[in-house]
Order: sequence, then structure tokens, then C-alpha cells
Amino acid sequence: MKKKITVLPLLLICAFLALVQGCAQKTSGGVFFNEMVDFASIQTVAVMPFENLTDNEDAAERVRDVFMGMLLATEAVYVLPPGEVFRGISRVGMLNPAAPSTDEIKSLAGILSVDVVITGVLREYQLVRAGASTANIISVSLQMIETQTGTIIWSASSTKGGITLTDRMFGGGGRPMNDVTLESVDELLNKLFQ
Amino acid sequence: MNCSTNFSSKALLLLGLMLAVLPACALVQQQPALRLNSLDSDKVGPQQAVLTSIRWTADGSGGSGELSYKFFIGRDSAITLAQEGPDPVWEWIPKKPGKYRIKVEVSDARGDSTASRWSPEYIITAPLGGESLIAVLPIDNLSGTSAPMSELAESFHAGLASKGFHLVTPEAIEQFRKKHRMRYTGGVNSHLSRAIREETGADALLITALEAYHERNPVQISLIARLVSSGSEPEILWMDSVGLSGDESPGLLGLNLITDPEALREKAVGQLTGSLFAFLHSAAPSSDFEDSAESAEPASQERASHVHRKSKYMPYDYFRSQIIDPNKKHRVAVIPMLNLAVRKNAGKIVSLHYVKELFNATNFKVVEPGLVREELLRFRAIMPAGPSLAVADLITSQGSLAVDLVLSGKVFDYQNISTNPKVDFSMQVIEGQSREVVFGARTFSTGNKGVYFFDFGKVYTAHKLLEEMTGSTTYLLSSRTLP
Repeated sequence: MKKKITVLPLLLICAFLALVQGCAQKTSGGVFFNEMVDFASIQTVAVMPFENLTDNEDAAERVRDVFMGMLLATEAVYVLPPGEVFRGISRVGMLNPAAPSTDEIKSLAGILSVDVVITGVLREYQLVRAGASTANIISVSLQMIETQTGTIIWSASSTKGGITLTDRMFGGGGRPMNDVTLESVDELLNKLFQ
Repeated sequence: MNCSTNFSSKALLLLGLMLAVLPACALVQQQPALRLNSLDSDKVGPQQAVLTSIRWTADGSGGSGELSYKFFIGRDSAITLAQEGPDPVWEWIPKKPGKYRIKVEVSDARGDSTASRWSPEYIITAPLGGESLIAVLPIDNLSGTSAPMSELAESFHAGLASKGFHLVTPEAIEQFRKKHRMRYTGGVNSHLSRAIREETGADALLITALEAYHERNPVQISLIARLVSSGSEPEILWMDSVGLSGDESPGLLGLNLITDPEALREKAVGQLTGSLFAFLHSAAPSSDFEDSAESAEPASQERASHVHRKSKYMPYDYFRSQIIDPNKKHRVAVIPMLNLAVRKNAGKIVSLHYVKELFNATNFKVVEPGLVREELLRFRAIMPAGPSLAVADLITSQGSLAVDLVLSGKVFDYQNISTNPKVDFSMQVIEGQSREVVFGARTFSTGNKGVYFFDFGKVYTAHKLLEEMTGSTTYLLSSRTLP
């Protein structure tokens, strides 16, 4: 009888853990995946203009352009040309294309025939200073939203560049912004196709 | 009983099999040898460059399986693979005057091949004769700064006249412009092209753009010029550009430094007019080829072409769809690129460089930018983020420009600083029939890239940087073998 009492809480804990696992979502290393979604079935993607939280006016467009080019170069999905995405945004009449509502996404999908849309936020894109050292830094986060349901199915962020310990000790100007941007986008794509 | 029946049926089966195999063997043995019966053109030479399309037809027979044809062009001891595939017909639009020879190689599914001899010399003449009248349009200033445009125009007139070109007088051009309210001189539409031929008698128009101009520290000038035929269907006949910086070859103790803007201007104009003169008047040397298999090895030609493109100017990422057939002739419209750079007119400049590179590439026929502008204005196409598929549909339709490909892009940076010029842009190509992006590239480069010792290999102007970068992407777009 005593044995039965001690086993019961253990069983309950195991059942709870199994239920939690059953939520079918995975988050690791700052990446979110909805495992209920078959990512292989995604064929056409629309990349929305990114939200720009930096001082640089064109920074978001630059990063979006790099991301679109590299995503297309993977040949895993087809990325709609930016002019076509803009036409869809205009037709839907989106007020803030960087953060579309579920209804807006569904309407956009009807016009552009895309499986998913990708939205993004550019948080940092600048030169940072610390003492005698300077370096470029970029920080960007992306979300992939399924157009049928309007739910987020993938999310990831990346921060690259900045002043390293070596830079602090020996000085140095860091790497060009273009290189840092490429590295960051490359990391995001690795997180998408991992 | 059963046993005997089985035995007899097995023997019959074996006999049947043998009978089936033997004729097959006989078929293999009787396969006619691979032969190349003829190589003919639908027009006899001489023919005009750019304006004429010549159809070459090869007749191969025998061999096993489907036959594959490789057409080679030989000119000035250089051999280029023009078309490869099962199509025995090749449409050739020669871009430059000269003496050409053509050869075809046919191969079968087994890998056997045979080649024709080089054809007799096929003469391609310049699209305009020596007596042709040229209308020189006022230079379009894309430099973003004030520049001595009238002096530059005078230099151009003087340079062309000294080389024996027959020119429409500037007064007559001015009168024509006033009559037709022609303000834009960066291109020509069909209406104005026809009118200028009827009213001034001009056979062609020389359209020039000033890409960059600095008067000091150091002096710089970049020009892009093209010759466009007049008449109802204006076509680009010749296109070239020049970009010079006074400090690019200083020589010993800086004795070759050019500090006088006028001297640099004359040098640039001299180079451009010289190039035009060479195109219209030069007698190409006779082509002389050895008729051996080694001399026509296309792979080595392709590799050589790739080596010519410096890897440091290649885009860091690109995409090319299977839809792009490098053997097919493509008609292309280049749309002015979206300019996100601080430098004024950077989008138009990059577009002009693409027009030049595509015009000089073998498999492309580029539509005169003035015609593209006319169509975009006609459709009231406003493109704040580049062309949509709807705009691409309009441009590619038969009622409009009837092009296969639409090239567009975005320019993020264009800095023409002699110490370290920078160019950053992305481009994409939409195919009309599939309505898909079939090529995309993002490229960035600086003049100091890959320079480690004594400025060796340094590029001093954004013009030359852009020339290399657009050349590299055009190579990737048109090449049969991708690096």
C-alpha cells in the first residue's frame, strides 16, 4: 500500500511532462518551430517590409533585400518579387505592413497566392563604440506566419557583430556592415532550415 | 506428359528469346554511322550587324539516339560556342562587323561526334555606312553635379567630326527638340525616332549620358554612349562607356597625373569616339582557324571566359532558375533601378551599365531604354518597390515591348570617391511566360577590395567597379556552365 502511494505522484509527474511535450512546439536556441506544420510543403513566400527600429532610414530595406536574395538562392522556396508584394499590400490597404493582422494576411494570401508571409523587425543596425574600439552591429528578428490560419509557425532572431574582447584589448574597427549583415542573415536561414 | 510439355515450352521460349535478341544485335550492328550532311545559312553574306538575323541549319543523320548540335562562331582567332542542344537550327544576330566563320559539331547519345569544316568567310558589315548621318543628342547629365555640358557637347561634336562622321547640326537638333517638345535626351521613343529620320534625315542618334564628373582632387569623368538607329523601330547598334580618373596611373614621380579636367575630358571623348569609329569603319582581320578538334573545344572557351571575370566582383549570392535557357535568344527590357543611394541618378546609371553589358552579350537583344520609358509612361506604371508581376505582364505582352525578360533592381550605394569607390546593388530578372523571378543577385564591392600591395589592382572609379560587377552578373545570367 505504501508503495502505491509513492508511485502515484511519480506517475502524475510523468503524465504531466508527457502532456507538456504533446503541445507539439519546439523552442531551442531562441528559435520557435510549430512542429505541427510541414515546412516542406511551403513553396511560395512573401517577405513583408521589415519594421525599422534604427536611426538609419534605409537599413530595414537593405536587410530585407539581403534576406530575400539569400532565401531565393537556397532554392528551397520561391520568393515573390518585392514589387509584387508591394502591389498586394496596396490592394489590401495595409496600414502597417511590418505587423499585419490575421485578416490582412488572409486577404494578402488571396491576392498573392502565397503559403506564408515573413515579417521582421530590425532592432539594431549601427556602429557601436567602446573606448577606442568601434564595430558594426546588427540585430534582427523574423517571424513566419501561415496564411491559412494566420498563426506564427517559425520565429528566430540573430545578433551579429559588436565589439569583441580582442577589439577591446587591441583596438580595431570591426568588420564591414555588409559582412555582418550577411553573417546574420546566414544564421537566420540556418535556423529556418535546421 | 506434363514434364515433356514443360520441356518443349521452355525450349520454345529459349528459341523465341534468341530470335528476339538476334535481330536486336543486327540492328545495333546496322546502325548507320553518324554523319553531318550539311551546314547552310538562309542568307548569303555580306549582311549587316545587329539588324540582321541569319538562320544556320545543320543536317545530321545516323548515330544512336537523339542528336545534339554545337554551333561555333570563329572571329579573330577566337572561338565562341553560340548554341548547344538538340535544335539543329540556330538564329544568329551578329553584334559586331567583321569576318566570321561558322562550324557545327554533332554528337549522338553514345558520345560519338563529328564536326563540319569551318564555313567560308561570312562578312558582316557595319549597320551604318560611312556616309550615314548621325544626330548627336544633348548629353544627359546623370552626374548629380553641375558640369560644363556645352563644352562637353562641343568636344563630342569636334571629336566625331575629326574622325569623318557626318553629323546633323546642333541648330537643327535644337529646332527639332523645340518643335517636338523633346526634353528627355536619355533615350528615344518610336515617335521621335521616326520624326528625326523624316525631318533631319538622320540615320542614327548618338545618345550619351554623363555618369560622373569631378573637376578636382582628383579630376574624374565617366561617360556612357550608344548609337541608336532612327525610324519607327529604334535599335541599339553600338554601345560603349569610359570612366577615367586623373590619378589612376600616376607613373614615376606622379608625372602622368592628370589634373586638368579639360585634358581628361578630351581623353574620354577620344576613347569613346574612337570606339565608335572602330565599330563603323574598321576592317576586321581575316579569321584563320585550324580545322582540328582541339581548336573548337568549347569547354576551354567557357572556362577562359569565366577566368576573365574576376572572382572578387562576383555577387556573393545569386539564384538562377532552370527556366533560363542559355542557348535561347532573349529579348530583354531593362527597367530603371530603384535608387536608395544618396547619390542622385544611381539607379539610372546601374541600369545603363546593364543595357551595355546585355547588348554586348551574345544571347540577348536589349530594347532601347527610351522605348521602355515610353511604355512605362503609357501604362502609368508607378513602381515604388520595383516591377510587380502585373507590370511585367504589360511590358512582356505582344502589344507592348514583347520581351522575354524584365530586368530591375535596387541600388543601395554608389560612391564615386577615388580613394575607395563603393557600389552596392541587387538585381532580379522576371521571365514573362512563367511570371517568375528567374535570376537574382546581390552584389557589393569597393575599389580597394583585394588590394594589398602598392595599390596593385585598385579601381579608381565607380564606373569601372560597376562595369565589372554588372559584367559578372550578366556572365552568370548567360553562361552555360556556372562557377
